[in-house]
Amino acid sequence: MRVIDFRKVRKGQFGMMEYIILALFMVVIVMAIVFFLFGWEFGTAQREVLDQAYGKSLSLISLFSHSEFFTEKDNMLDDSKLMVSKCEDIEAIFGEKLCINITSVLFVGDEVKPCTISNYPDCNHWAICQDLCSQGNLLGYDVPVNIYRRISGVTELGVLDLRIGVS
Amino acid sequence: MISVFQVFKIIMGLFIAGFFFYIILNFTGIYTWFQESQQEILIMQNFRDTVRNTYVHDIPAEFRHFENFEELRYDDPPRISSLSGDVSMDAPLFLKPGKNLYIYRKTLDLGWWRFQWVGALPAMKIVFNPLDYSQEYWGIMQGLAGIFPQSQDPQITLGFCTGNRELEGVERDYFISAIRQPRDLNFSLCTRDFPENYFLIIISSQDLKPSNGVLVKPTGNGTGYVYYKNNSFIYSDPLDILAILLGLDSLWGPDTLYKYKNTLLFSELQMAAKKEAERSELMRLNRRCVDTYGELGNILCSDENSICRLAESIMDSGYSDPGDFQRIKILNKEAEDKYKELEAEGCE
Repeated sequence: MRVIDFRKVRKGQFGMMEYIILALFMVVIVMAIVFFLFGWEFGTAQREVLDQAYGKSLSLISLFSHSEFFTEKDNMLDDSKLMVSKCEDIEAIFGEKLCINITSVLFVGDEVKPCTISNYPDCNHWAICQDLCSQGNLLGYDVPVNIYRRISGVTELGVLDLRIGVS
Repeated sequence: MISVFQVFKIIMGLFIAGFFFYIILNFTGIYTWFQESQQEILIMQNFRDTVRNTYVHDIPAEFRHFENFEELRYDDPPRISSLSGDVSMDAPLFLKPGKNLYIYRKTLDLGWWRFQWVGALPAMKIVFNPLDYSQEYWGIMQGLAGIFPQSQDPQITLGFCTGNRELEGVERDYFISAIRQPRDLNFSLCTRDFPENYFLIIISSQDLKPSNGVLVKPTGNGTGYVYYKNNSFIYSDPLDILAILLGLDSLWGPDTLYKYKNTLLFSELQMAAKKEAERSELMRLNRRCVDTYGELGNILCSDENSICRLAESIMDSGYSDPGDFQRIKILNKEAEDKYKELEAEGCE
């Protein structure tokens, strides 16, 4: 009668299990590294979307300050052209709506007077695409600009606040 | 004798090694492709930023980063595309794809409005073949020479051709000074074959069918026709001719940039005329140069014979009615004269 030594059989099975578990762990580690690297790339891409949105708003500011539709000359806005600018014009020129607010620099005691046809030129604030401005999730910059007052012939200092919507 | 367990270890080891090898190869392949695509997109975005900076600040630039691109297309302006994707330009761009580009800004001055655009050109030679002599034909040559940049690297030169002889090309400034004085050159039709990136421009009133190059045939008042093989295009300024030239020998043909230019120009003109007419009304309400602003408003945007309506009509007709092109030129001149009156009166 053949005697089976169960101690040797258990030792052999245990050895095989060691290899299988080791191989499994190594596969899991490799997959984890691969997922981590791709996850890193996607996280970087998300951050880049924000960076690009800020970069885009800066470039739109420079295009706005250069456009014949809004300026008397480079970097000098024309108040009469701002008076006739509408949101659909912004969309036609730049391909999207932009939240634009322009204010002449105010002295202490001055109040903000939004410009309309009836109070021009006795006003100091121009707002375009206000429906976009009331939505959340906007980012952009405000920069100093020159504003040429067509009627008086005076150039004033002002602030251009331009924001874009971020999805 | 080898045991079963040892065989198992060998086979298991081979499977695991094969698995790792497969993962690493796949990952490396995907990651490399991903990085290369990302690199191409970044280069195109840099190009867009360079074009924008040139457009805003009027500082010319060279761009050499397309050297490793397999393919660069501009068949759907304002989008440039490569095998990795596409990027949209935010300034009017007239591009001839090449490895090394010179980027510059020019202005099309309509008198009361300026249309600015950016050119991005590789090394090229423009060869003129004027067959007739007149002040108008000489003016076409001078206007065309003026829209190219002064560039040594990449080299952009202009020259002449007569018969089978090609005269040495020179840079733009030298060429313009050389053709300042109109004179009859007695040239014959150019029959020379040219290599890639040479553009032949024949200027003549004759009905010719040149086998290479384009024929520019003026019809008066600054307009005329450009003929290329079986196609004809109406031109009203040198930029029309440049747009057609840049599309020659390309996969997308000369009409792509021609339509792009005219769509941009006339849609901008239409909008500018409307806005300036509204502004004129605003100035009238504020009792500034009331009569002159009123007349200007009528020229810009009132009835069918105003600039905004004509611009719309030109776009609707597919840029095929030469009469409309001539009429809008006349109206632009009238609007320019009104602005000069306003300047003289101190209102502009």
